[in-house]
Amino acid sequence: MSAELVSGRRRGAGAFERYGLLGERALRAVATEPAAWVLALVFPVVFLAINIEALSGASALHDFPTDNIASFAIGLTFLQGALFAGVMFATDLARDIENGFMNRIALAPISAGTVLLSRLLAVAAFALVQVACFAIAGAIFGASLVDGPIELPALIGLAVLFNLAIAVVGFQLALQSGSGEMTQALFPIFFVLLLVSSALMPRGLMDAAWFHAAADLNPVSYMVEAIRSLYVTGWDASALVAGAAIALVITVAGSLFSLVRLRALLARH
Amino acid sequence: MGGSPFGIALGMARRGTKAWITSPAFVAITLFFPLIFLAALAGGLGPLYRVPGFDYPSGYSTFVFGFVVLQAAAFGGIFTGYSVARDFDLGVASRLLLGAGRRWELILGYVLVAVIRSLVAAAIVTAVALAAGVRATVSPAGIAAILALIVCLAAISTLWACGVALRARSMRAGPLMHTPILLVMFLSPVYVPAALLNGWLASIAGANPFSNVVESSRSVLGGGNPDLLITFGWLFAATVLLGIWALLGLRRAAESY
Repeated sequence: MSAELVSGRRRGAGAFERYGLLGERALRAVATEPAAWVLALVFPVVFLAINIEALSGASALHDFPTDNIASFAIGLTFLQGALFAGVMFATDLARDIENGFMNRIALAPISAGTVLLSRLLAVAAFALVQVACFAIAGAIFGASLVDGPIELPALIGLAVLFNLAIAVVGFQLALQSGSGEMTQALFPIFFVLLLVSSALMPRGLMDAAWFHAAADLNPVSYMVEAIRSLYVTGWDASALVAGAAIALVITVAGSLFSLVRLRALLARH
Repeated sequence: MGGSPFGIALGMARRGTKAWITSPAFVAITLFFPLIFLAALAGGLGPLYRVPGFDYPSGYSTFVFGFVVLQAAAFGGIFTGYSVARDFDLGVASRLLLGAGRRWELILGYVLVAVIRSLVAAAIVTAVALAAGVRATVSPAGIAAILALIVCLAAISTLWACGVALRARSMRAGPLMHTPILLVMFLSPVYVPAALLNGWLASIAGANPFSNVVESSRSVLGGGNPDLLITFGWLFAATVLLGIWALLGLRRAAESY
């Protein structure tokens, strides 16, 4: 595929075709890794199953928002999947820098915007697979959307947006370091963000003041709560808007910074 | 290397320990997960202590610490397995396999590295936990028991990870090393006591030997006197089985050169 783009046989290929080719390549690079399926799809579902049973007693706590632990815990599942997927897509970008693929792209009539957008499309496509997987698994375990299928577009939109937000943060480190190994250092950072959040306990019930403050400042808390609101309370405008707005700001800002770095990278060659 | 008894193992242990302590990144990553879990579980899940039937007088932080200190031991073994895989990626392993007369001592050496890493990590995690308010009522015999649990878990996780690394001979096997260990650990009473688990998890946790190890650790930390014979029986059996697993992997790796 890359030869087609560079050799000129596809010179004049339309924008959609370029996005498709590059996006397909980025998606294939991740989706054909067994680790992608295990870490970004299977692991979150396994931990959902574990957390449902392990945290079942929490529903007895005063002011716990729901009796249905599956509906409570599923927010973590979506974010866990997004975090793992984000690291993998970012690592793939870094590897493309390491192995010289970006040098070849720089010689082709392909803009930095095309490179970035195609990768974001790949992230979004993978996110759709994750949404289907997690929604079905959640339904099997007893988590159901409060207002039914009418909430599906919101669920899909939020999940895709959160995946994009996390991926563009990863793209920053990938473009900065140009190293797959360094980019994988994102995993522990994202792991901290996931654990030090309201993923496992509502913020209103947290006893430790420092943890409560950290969760308040953590954007992942709002993303988890946005997803969770669809399963626990139904249309909660404040939760949905907060999660979506934070993710949108991160996505836009991250994309702009990534675009600047990509342009500089491609211009060097 | 290796003229004196256990010379190879001690040489490997010196090499691995030196590589670890001279690399701040390696030290940090060994400590990272246990400390994060301690902070996240003790800080975020404290309200679970109020769940009716939560019977652990020493408090939720100590309850969590009983798991986290064992997790530190397991991670010491996992990261040592990564070192084995890296040795293959860098070509060092082939020289070790060719040069070592008593190859089984290579495994022993890696286990010694993991034990040292795990003890150091557990000491640091304990210091942080105590500074953060964990209160444990432990006798000298209890401390010895906890140390023995740490050593055994470090050895077991190393033997598993070594077996995987020796067969795969690449860092790409990393997920295969840590995923089963993480699953075994989380299919046990992590957040709440076993009595508060429900459904299929309660059944699996009941059959999971690691549950016994965690509950023994928590009991010792709470000043209790658990039956450690069963606990160490499980650990001994696991060590023997996984030792065979690692040695068979070593033979396979040696035959490939």
